[in-house]
Amino acid sequence: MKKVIVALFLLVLVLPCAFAQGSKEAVSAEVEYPTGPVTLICPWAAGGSTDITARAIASVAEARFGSPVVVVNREGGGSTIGTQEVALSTKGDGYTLLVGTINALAVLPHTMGLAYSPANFKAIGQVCSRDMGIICTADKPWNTITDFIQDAKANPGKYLVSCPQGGLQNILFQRLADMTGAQFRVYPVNNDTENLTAVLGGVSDLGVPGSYDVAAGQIAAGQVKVLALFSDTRAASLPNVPTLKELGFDLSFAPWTSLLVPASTPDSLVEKMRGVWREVIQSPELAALLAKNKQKPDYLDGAETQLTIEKQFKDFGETIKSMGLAAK
Amino acid sequence: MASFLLIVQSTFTLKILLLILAGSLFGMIVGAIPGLNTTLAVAIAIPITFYLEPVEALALLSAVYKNGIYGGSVSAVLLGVPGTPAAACTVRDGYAMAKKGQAKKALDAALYASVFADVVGNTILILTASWLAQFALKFGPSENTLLVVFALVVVSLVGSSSLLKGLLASIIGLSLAMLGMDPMTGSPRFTFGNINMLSGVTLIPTLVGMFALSEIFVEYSNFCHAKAEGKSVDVPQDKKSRLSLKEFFSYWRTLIRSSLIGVFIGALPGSGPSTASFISYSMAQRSSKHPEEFGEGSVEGICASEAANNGVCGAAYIPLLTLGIPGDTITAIMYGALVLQGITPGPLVFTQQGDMITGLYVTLFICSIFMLVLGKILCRTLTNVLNVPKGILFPVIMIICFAGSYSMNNTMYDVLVMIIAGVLGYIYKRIDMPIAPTLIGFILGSQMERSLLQSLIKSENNLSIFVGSPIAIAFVIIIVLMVGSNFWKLMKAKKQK
Repeated sequence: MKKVIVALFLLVLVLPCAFAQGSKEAVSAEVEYPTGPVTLICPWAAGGSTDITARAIASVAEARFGSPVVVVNREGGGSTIGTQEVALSTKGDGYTLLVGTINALAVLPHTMGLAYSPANFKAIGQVCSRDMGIICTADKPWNTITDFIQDAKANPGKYLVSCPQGGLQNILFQRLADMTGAQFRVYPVNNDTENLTAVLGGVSDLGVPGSYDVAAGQIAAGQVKVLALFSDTRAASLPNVPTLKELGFDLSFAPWTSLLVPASTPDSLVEKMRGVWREVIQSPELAALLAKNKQKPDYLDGAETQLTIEKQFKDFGETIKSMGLAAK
Repeated sequence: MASFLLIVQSTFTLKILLLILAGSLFGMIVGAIPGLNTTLAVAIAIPITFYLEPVEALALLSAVYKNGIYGGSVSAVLLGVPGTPAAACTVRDGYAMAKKGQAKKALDAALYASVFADVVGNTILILTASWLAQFALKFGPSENTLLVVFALVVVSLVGSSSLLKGLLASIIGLSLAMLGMDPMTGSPRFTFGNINMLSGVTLIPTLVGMFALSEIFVEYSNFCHAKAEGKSVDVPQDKKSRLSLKEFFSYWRTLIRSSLIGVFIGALPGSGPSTASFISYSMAQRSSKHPEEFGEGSVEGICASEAANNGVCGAAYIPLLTLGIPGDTITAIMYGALVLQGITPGPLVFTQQGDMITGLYVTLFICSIFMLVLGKILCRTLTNVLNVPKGILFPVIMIICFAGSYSMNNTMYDVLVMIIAGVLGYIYKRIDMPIAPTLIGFILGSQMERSLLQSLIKSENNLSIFVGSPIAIAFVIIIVLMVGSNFWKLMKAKKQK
């Protein structure tokens, strides 16, 4: 008799599982997230700009979730190692997110021949972006980028433009040059700091750093001028600097930072996560922290972010191929 | 002047002194643990600075930074393992002295030289910051290339007993630097399709492997041949075991020269403390009255290496504050911390944030004092490590090696690098090949490749760029003279035979 009761009891326990298969939608709508510690993978070293952004996100999220949110630095390979680790992860459970940046998602897979593409990710949302500008020392004769382009057209190949070779800035400046027919040479640098050093030391004529803010001190002192911004709108701190769009070039761009999970994460969970993280990203606390780190809060929802990344990946792929920089 | 005194007074708050005390202790300990480096220590301290005033934040970070660089020498002397890359050069003489039972003397030498150079570095920072910064900007790609060539020549010519082995070791180091990503385009090289290889050979695990793991291998094979004694070394407790200030200051030439080399290298964006200590060590050996003692346990050698790497610390603030250009990863982290405080380092910082700068100067000197006092206390305690039997000490070091290498980036790849470097280091020690040239070649390899390519791009493949400025010409002349004189000596030695 006892055995029969136990068997019946077990049957009662098991039955809902059988039905759960049929009513998956209904159950998943009630996915609990987050219920435990969350890890943010930062593909850059501790102390860098992306790391500071990641830690700002973590501190705000932790306060809201009430459970730990930890930043793990997985640096190396120009941020591709950490990015690839998340991309190829097969256990997307929503508790490991990538703090991804444009270069590793849309540019480097083409130039370095990597094992991942945006298809390996599901975007949770875009967090922030920066203003990219073209800088030169104050003693240069150009006052706008149009002046430089005319000069570079008259003297093909004379001017050196410092930017990471094959990187985002190189590709964008090349697009600008292609539009106008100007010719220039690339002076390769590894990061914004080296870029500023080259510009100040007179080694390069023009610099395209990832963020014009690297020269904020010199700009304030009148030693460096910004010729144009790549952003859609003018920067609040530089009201007199026009955007490329205003000057009549069909080119606008702002390097972004987004949260992503591996494609192996179930869609229902991704939906839930997008909602949960939107509140973190759009919170005033995070906006204040980002502003301190000279990042513009720039929220895009998960679906939009996904589309943006895929479109940019395709566009950059074509430009990189035409520039002969694609990996063989 | 009154305002200056006011700032000094406002800097001597209990909070700042406590921050410096905590930062110094923390930096020293992290610096002394092989595998954990100063960059990590400074990065860990960053979140604390969110809740501090700018001067307090800088005081904390500077204390961690300076004491971290010094702390690396403690394990270099006691364990033969550089706690940080900056102390790689201190190992040679420091560990040799410890083996002879002169560990206290070696630690004193490292401490005094560090503090001395620190004070020199701070003074030069205060007096000539903006002038030195302008000079540093004149260091374009061609000058940088020549500086690296100069460093390689100095280290491989002077650092070893055999010229052939020295050059071979340099070339191995340079070749190792080629693994990973192309420094300009980022395209993968020799990575065999393994994504971890994109980072190339990672520096800290290599360092830990070549020095620490290889030493354990050596000891173990000695043990198997029943050559090892149970206890490491005796530590004499009498007064003679200490370094007298009189003896210390008898090396004043080396101290001043090494500090200045450190300051000079530190002011250049992109060159670090390990380069400075290798150059200054080799220069000291070249001009020493007792060059034969170098490598066998020379106090002068320790002074040269440690004065140079701490000279870099003060000077590293020069490009950071005056130009807003962080010269290395540590100052890059400080740059980030300043930006979070709402301060933009750059030409205007001296006029707009004058008080903060003066406050920083004062705290830098307080850091030096703390380094001296804490270093003294710490050394006294830590020399007891040498009384631990080897059978216990070496397994513990081995655990630290593995854990430290793993913690760098949380990957087993770094552990693998460490083990391979350990085997390589063991082979080096068995065939008596110097490790220093390999290390300096490896550290400077990518910098050399980058600046060489940059020079040639700038000059459109015209080699005349390498004699295109007074600084470049001076470098070329010095390099030619050094190689020439060595060649001359070699020929003379051959004739005499």
